[in-house]
Amino acid sequence: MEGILIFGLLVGLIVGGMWVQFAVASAGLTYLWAIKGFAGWKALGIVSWGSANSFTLAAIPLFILMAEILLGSGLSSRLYNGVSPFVRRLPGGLLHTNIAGSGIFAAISGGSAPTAAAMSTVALPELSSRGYNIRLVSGSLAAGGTLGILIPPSITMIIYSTFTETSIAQLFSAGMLPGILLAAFYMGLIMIRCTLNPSLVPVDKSKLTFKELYTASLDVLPFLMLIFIVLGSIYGGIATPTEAGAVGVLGAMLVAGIYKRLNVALLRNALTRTIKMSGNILFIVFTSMIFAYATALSGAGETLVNYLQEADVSRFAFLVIVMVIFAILGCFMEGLGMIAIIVPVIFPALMALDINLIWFGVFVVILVELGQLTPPLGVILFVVASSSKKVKVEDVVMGTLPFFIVIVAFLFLLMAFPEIALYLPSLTTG
Amino acid sequence: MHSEQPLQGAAPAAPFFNLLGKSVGVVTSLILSALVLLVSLEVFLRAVFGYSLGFVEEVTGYLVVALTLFGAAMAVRANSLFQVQVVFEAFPPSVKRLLGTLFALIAIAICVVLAWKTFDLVGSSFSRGKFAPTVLRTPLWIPQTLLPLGFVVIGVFLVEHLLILLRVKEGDR
Amino acid sequence: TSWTGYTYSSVSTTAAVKGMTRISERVASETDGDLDIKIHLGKTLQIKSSDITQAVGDGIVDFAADYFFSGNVPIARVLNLPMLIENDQEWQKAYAAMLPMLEESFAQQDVVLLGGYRYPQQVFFTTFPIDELSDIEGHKIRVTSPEQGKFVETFGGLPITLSGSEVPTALERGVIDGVLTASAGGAKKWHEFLPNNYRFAVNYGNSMIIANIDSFEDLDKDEQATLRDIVADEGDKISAEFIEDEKKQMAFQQSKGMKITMVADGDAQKARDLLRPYWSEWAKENGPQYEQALSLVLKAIGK
Ligand code: NA
Ligand code: NA
Repeated sequence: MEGILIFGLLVGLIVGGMWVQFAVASAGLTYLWAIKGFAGWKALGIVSWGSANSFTLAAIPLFILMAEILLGSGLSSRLYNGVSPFVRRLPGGLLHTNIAGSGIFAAISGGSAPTAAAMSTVALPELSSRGYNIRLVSGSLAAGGTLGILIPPSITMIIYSTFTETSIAQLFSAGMLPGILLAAFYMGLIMIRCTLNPSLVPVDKSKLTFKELYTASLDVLPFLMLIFIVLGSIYGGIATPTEAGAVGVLGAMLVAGIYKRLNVALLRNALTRTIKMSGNILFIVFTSMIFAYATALSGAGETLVNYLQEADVSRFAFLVIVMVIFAILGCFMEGLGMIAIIVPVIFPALMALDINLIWFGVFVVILVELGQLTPPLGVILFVVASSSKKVKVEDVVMGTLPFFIVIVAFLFLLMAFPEIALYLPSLTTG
Repeated sequence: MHSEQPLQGAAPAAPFFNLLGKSVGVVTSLILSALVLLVSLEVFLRAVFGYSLGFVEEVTGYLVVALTLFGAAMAVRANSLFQVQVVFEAFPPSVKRLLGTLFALIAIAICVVLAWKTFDLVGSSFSRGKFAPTVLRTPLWIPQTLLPLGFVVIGVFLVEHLLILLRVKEGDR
Repeated sequence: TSWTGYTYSSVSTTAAVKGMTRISERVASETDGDLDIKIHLGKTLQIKSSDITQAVGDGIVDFAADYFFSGNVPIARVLNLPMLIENDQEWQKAYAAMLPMLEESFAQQDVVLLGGYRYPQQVFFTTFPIDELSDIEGHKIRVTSPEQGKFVETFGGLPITLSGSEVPTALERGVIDGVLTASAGGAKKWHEFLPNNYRFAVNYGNSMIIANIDSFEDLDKDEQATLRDIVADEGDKISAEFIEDEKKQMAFQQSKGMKITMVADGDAQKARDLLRPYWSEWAKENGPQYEQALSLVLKAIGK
């Protein structure tokens, strides 16, 4: 079982401190060599082209650039100034804006990485300088980012539907309620943690006047303008979710211009920072696709799934085993690769066990989210960590852990009450 | 992202690396700006005139290739590629240097393999006369050349990284 | 011998994938396990659909179903010209006439053309009411080739290119107003956004079943013949299943409230007249080989 050795190599290299991208590429190349000898490397050219040449990945640099412009122009700190008086009495304070902001952003963007990247770019520097616990901030951002593929539009759901021919419209409406509920649970977790340990957030006991609240709400205005522009472009039928990234960049420039914060130095700086951050993220997606190619070629996923089909288990046991498989693969694979490897193989079993495909789509999307949060290869963990020099991957991992547990609990809730996902789609189909 | 020290001073080749770094930075900034403009133009033309350029999906894909590799090269140079350092930092300095050198060498080897294999792809597309079946009919070897080029640039900055690492080692003695 | 097989299609239950799986099973049993083809589904290997011909030619994949071959074998696009081939009989004749040329072009890519299958005709699915072609005027229709774009333009529609993954959201929000696809194709996924279907056939799409030339020649003569026979047989079956599925999906989509309109009187003639000059224009633009291919097809179908 060379798969296990390769997995060991990958973990060893990452934990040993190698650049994650090159650790993944090393493991991928070794895997190919183990399966097919050096002839296996012949595919690297066409696989590289197939992995990197992607329209939808353009959303990542575009949304990061939008966020960098907001950050550089100071509009984002203004936003936090504006919001903070309103949430100061809530345990957790501005941390809730990470969740709410991610939820709003999820309705704009089709992916988790753009959501997490844009939110972290804006929120991490701001909240850490205000004295919020860095781990809790990172955890809430990583968890919030995963709302990106649950709340529609969602590229992950679209990919799922191409393997299962399920209705995208129903998948989208099925993701809505779980997305909102999960966001509420995240907020609940933040409140509980901050009530138990008030030192996690800065204390502000000053009293506010009505006038202060009024000026504060004016500070929220530029951000509302931007949301209006970007959401409006999608819901008004002007732009697709990927294109909305470019609308967002122009919108951020426009808003920064209105507030007289736009200049060449700011743009140049934003471009440079965006290139480094998105290059980092895109490159990890790229190398993990090479790894996914090797895994698919090896048939390891199928072997794993075949065990489970032969086991002839109950529906509940089947779902738990699916969770375990996603958890195992999720440690070292990127989300879309996991769907491609697992879903086509278990598709017949789903039919046999009479599992609702729309419900299972939501289930899988949440499992993909989990995969993006598990070390050693958790794209979202790296995305959050890359947004600020003050935070290490290790901090993000520790900060995400409690949220991770919430998500796992939510999966069981979804199994117990499938209506959470199926209620809204049932309204449209009658 | 953590041990972010600007990489400079791989003398005597430093001017070369600096010039290359600056050029890649400028070109990549232009590519990102072009991406924004291209996609916004498509949105604008479609919304206002119901007109589609017909090549935005295609060209955007090429720009993403460039942003992936040149962006990664810039991240290498800024020493900000993702790393888990908690174990690494616990090692004694000699082990750190040895591991660092080993990691850099492996990474360079990977870039060489990828540059070589993607260059083969360019050759295959060229000799097959393959083009994109779109309005532009782009001969695909042209955008595909971005791949070997990108891996070479990443590799060069990894070499710079290695040189600095080795120089620090000598300086310590 | 163990081969890597690939298909652009991602859905294990679709006629095309079931057919490829049958090919693999039959080949294994009829060669007593000497030739073992492992079929990988679309998107499971990180090879773009439009790179399949090249992947087969380069020997990365040994055996494949290939729909997006026009970047490597552009001459085959003659068969997909709008309004050129209008029914099954014409298709059979045109394909037979083109076959030597197609085999030659694939051979130049180091690929053996073993057979193929055909999709049902691509028709209009729209968010706006449509009773005749002129109704597309001013509406944004997503097209998948420059040739389809030409057709839409001819009737005053606005051809839009858009990544497949963005089509559902684009339809839902009105970024586009319609698509050209088959009931058993894209409409299977998108029908909820598409209340209207106009059964005007713009063009057919087809897939080639191909193998790497070296891998193929490494087989002994009997195995080669067996493989060819099985592919020919199963290719026909896939085409037939698609026609069945098209009817089934049409009925299903109608039961879900889609309004299906048959072709209006005179539309076909009008389209034929308007598009005819375009065929020769297109061929001329692409070179003498294309003009030759077009005249072959025209002669075969008597147009
Ligand atoms: Na979303
Ligand atoms: Na993971």
